[in-house]
Amino acid sequence: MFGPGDAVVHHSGVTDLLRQWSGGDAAARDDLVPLVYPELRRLAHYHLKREREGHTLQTTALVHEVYLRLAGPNPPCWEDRAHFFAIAARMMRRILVDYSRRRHAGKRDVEMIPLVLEEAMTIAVKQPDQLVSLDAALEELAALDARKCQVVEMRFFVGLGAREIATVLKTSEATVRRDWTIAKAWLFRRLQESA
Amino acid sequence: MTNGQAGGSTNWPEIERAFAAAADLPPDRQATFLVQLPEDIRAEVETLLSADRRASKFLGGSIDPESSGGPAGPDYTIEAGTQIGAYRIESLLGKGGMGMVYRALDTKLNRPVAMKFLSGELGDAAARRRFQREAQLASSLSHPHILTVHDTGEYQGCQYMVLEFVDAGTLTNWARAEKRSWREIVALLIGVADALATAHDADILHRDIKPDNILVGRNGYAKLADFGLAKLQERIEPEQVTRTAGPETTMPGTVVGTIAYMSPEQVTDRPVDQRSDIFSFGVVLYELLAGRRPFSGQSRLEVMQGIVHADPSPLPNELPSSLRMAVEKALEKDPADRYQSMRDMVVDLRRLLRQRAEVSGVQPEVASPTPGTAAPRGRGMVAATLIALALLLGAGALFYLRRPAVETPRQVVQFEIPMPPGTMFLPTVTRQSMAISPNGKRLAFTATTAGGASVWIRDLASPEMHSVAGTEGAWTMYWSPDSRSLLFSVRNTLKEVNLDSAPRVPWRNSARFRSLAYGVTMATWCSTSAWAKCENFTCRTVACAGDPVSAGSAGPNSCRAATACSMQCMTRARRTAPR
Repeated sequence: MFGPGDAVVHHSGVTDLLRQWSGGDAAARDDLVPLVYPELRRLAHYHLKREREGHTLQTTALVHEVYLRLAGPNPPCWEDRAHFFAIAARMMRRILVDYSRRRHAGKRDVEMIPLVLEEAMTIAVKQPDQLVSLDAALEELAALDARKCQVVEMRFFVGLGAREIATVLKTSEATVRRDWTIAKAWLFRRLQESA
Repeated sequence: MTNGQAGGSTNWPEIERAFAAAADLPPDRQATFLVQLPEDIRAEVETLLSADRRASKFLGGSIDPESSGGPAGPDYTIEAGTQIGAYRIESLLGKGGMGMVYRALDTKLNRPVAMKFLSGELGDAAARRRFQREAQLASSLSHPHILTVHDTGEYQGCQYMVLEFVDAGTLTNWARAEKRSWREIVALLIGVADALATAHDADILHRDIKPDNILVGRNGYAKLADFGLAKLQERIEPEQVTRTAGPETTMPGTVVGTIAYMSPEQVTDRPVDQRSDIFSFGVVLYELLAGRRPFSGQSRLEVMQGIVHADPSPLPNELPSSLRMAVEKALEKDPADRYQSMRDMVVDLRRLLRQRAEVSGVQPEVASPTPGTAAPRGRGMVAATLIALALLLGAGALFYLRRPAVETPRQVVQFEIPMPPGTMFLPTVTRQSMAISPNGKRLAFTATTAGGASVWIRDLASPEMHSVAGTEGAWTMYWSPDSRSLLFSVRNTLKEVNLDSAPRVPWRNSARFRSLAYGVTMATWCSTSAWAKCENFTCRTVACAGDPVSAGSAGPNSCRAATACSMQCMTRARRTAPR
């Protein structure tokens, strides 16, 4: 009775939940996490392991891959995809920071250098301490202004652009750009201060 | 350490406003603006502005994905008449992904050439290496259908390449210029295919095959250009084939190439080999023959999704079936199902032209491709067509069922069934998305709308179609042997609906039901009799590693067990499937 296609039951589940969430049902977001997180984590670790052997992968591509696997061929609307990426951003941050923390275990009080690298995944492997500091700074930023922290997460951890971020946050693209600029400056200053 | 937080937390909205206002001002007016601010706000804004100036590359810099890493627009123009070595610039021909292309005159040999300059912004070491590699690779390949590289050099810090001048345009222009018959299209592209096969023989992948990289001269001669993304394909084990995004070739992890022509493995960042080029070539061929791209969408992601999951709608029926099959074979999702070498495809295409040349008769023309607009022209190109090819099989079966005796030679009937308005047919290999009833009278299929998939029924003898209530979310359906009920699965649950009982009783559990179904790719099959009680349930998994045949019957909870069993097999099969 079951073709393999049916066995991938998460497909329609993920799509429905995304739709519900972007339709305003906040509980749907919570239901999505257990569906998405394990797959994302599994794949991220697979790639992180390879990266230590000299390979790299952009987190965006990775989230694309998870999305393609989970959402299946039933194409949800554009907004739903942006929402998927938004969820993935928070998870990606957690996965990479946890990974960095483990790699960096035991080393304390290291000098903090500003991040100039292109993407989170590379940092997690090469400068695990930087990612841990960034994570702490983000936490402080979130306390000050939660939306700024979300913008950074979506941009830096999964590579969403201004338009997509604006969709998820239900705000204008211009606002997102302003958020990004000031958040970036704020984080940069914060990391310099603690260096 | 704490001044930022303390000041920020109390007056953050004001700081934010002042920062945004100041950031928009030119530097000379910033100071005047800042002095008007209250002391604590000013200190905050000043340090943030200073951080902003130094943070240009922090966290990747820009918020626009394209501008952080992708090729920026070249900002560089060279005046006509400028003499660079033996070459005199004449006019700008166009802008490529990596720089500007000029027409120039080789004053030594008095022949026209094309000069490609690496754009100023991209003149970093990595781009330069890539540019040099393009030149080296292309010049190492000698083939009449590969654009010749004459020379390379540097001008005012800019790398350039001197190329054979092709007097016409790209394949896109060629296809748009006039209606082309499939013979013309195939004849033109065989040259390119042969060029590609030669490159593959030398272990060179192109990686970016698209109409804009195929130049067509006025003499109707096609040349493959831009081996810019090509990379020497190391001779190593298939599992270790180099990844698309090797750090040497592109920015870390940057997805290279133009999305629409990428192979599923490129899109999902898996190892690529020559079969990836074969897929891209198939996309080009499909686009020219059908007048539209096989995979399209509103966004990059939608296109990527199509590449990975969607089967392109069938090519027009007027095309020879062997040609349609060749294109389909090139477009298989799994590289193992495609042509294994470009050479094989070239052989097939040549044979096709030869055979067809012997058959006299009018060759139908195909719609001229208009990428972007994708306006279907010509007959037979129903926008929402489906199934025709797949139905071939069903139609044959139908014929067989009705006429078991061998009276007349079997006739193959092809026809198209338009989809219900506003719906799409999205078949996949892993799902039974359509099924003809055992009595041959009805067709069940899944139709997808923005709201999801549901099952539709059509009596083959009539054009009417109706959706079956309660089947929302169903992807796979099977007919009962008496053709009166449909069994389908929604999420984890198996459901049955009797189509003939009036009024229809949804989810009727029938003990009479007997069914057998195959999981197409994983060789799982489950069968049951007496479905209502879920007794005598059997599930066999054939392809599970380490567990070649496990059979068992389950008790009252066997519906659940069936799911679990099938899922388990899936998981295992996936884990063991070669990646």
